[in-house]
Amino acid sequence: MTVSSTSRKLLFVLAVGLMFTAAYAYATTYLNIGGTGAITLPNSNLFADVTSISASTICSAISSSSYTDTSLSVTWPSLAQGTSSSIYICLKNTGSAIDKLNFAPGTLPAGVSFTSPQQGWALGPSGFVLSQLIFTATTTATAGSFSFMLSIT
Amino acid sequence: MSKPLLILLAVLFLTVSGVVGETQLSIGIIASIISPPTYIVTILMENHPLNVTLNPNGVIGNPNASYITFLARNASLAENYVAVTNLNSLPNYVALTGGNKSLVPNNCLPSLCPINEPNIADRIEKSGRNWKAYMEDLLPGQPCTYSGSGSGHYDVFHNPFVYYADVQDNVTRCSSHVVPANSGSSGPPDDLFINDLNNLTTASNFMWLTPNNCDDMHGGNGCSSSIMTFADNYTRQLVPKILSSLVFKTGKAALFIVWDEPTYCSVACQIPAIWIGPTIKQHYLSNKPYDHYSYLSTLESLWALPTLTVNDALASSMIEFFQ
Repeated sequence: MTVSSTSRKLLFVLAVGLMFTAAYAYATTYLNIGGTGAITLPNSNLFADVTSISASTICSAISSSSYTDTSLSVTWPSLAQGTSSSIYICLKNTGSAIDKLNFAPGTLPAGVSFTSPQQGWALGPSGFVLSQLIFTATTTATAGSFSFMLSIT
Repeated sequence: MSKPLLILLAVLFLTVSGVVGETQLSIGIIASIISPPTYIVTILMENHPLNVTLNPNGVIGNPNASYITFLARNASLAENYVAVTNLNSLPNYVALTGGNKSLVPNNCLPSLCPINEPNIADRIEKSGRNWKAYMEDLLPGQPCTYSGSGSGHYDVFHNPFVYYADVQDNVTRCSSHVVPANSGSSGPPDDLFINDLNNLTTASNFMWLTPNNCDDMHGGNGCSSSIMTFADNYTRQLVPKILSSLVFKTGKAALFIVWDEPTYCSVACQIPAIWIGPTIKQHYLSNKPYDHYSYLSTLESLWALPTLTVNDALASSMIEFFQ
């Protein structure tokens, strides 16, 4: 097996990067085990409440037990062709890192689009955000029912 | 790229992912798109609560209102629809058309209580649609602020459109949009209204009908003492004409029949609110809470109209009744 000079240099840089990352991970784990501080891995962890949320809901006032990250489903109110409609959900970041919100719908029918004003917002550790989900149908969108998955990261 | 490099990159990616990893939420969404009606016809009835279980004067299930009961059970009925005030018609009518019951203090005359605020007619016109309000027993040629009994039992407190300054102060706009429903001396047949429903060039997208004070179940001097039976018979002869009209044969029309207030019990008492027509679900009941502002919200959501006030902006649209 031959490795080119350029690849060798890149390999070296990556190896150094890997070592630093591994060292950081080890250090945080070590400190945690050592009991000198409650250090957790800096990850974000999203939970949502999608039940009976309105534009005036104060997400931080909702009981923690209402937030979940499993079995989330919403039946959207019917939408007339040529109009938009909104629903609201509450998001909570239980992690210790900032989460830059990304709303990604699955495949939508022709003439239907999805957006959220909270796209790209930064949700801080232990933070809450009321998120508006907007669904728009053109005048030529086909009437009927459909379903899709909305991923939020 | 060489194999060792790929392995190293993969290890690095997994390591970094482990350190800054995050949860992905997945929400299953079920949605439906409807074709909005081109025509919406609204009939305002008066002063009765929802049903006989709620109050002996309730409409639905009352043997004296068998036709209206039939309509409600075969079309769509909102079982939890309430007025926004009680014992004063006008604020309810203004809520239905202007989004704020407080735009008038009570039942006052149009010349004394002009409303300098936008209304649903303005919104409809700006959207490129047209509108007309038909008043039973209103005599043609009367000034916009006319407040007499017309040719029979016209009641200006049931004609919200003439309160809006941009209608009241514009003689041409008022006379062309707020018109008599009937050419006869009093009451049905509402020939002028029905004729327009049978001509797609004269039919308006938004057609509002205020029956006279006997036909709308209000009652009073000169009306039958069996006012519920009388009004039920009025709807029995009128509604089939609406549903068989050319406008409704297009398949793109909806009829809304609603009462202004419960009168016989508190404002918290539900009132009948019935949706009928080819764009409406059949045999459908909903217990979701609605009020007169929901009616505006429904028009706004169906026709993409801007909201009028915070009341209709926050009200739930009744779009669930549409198919």
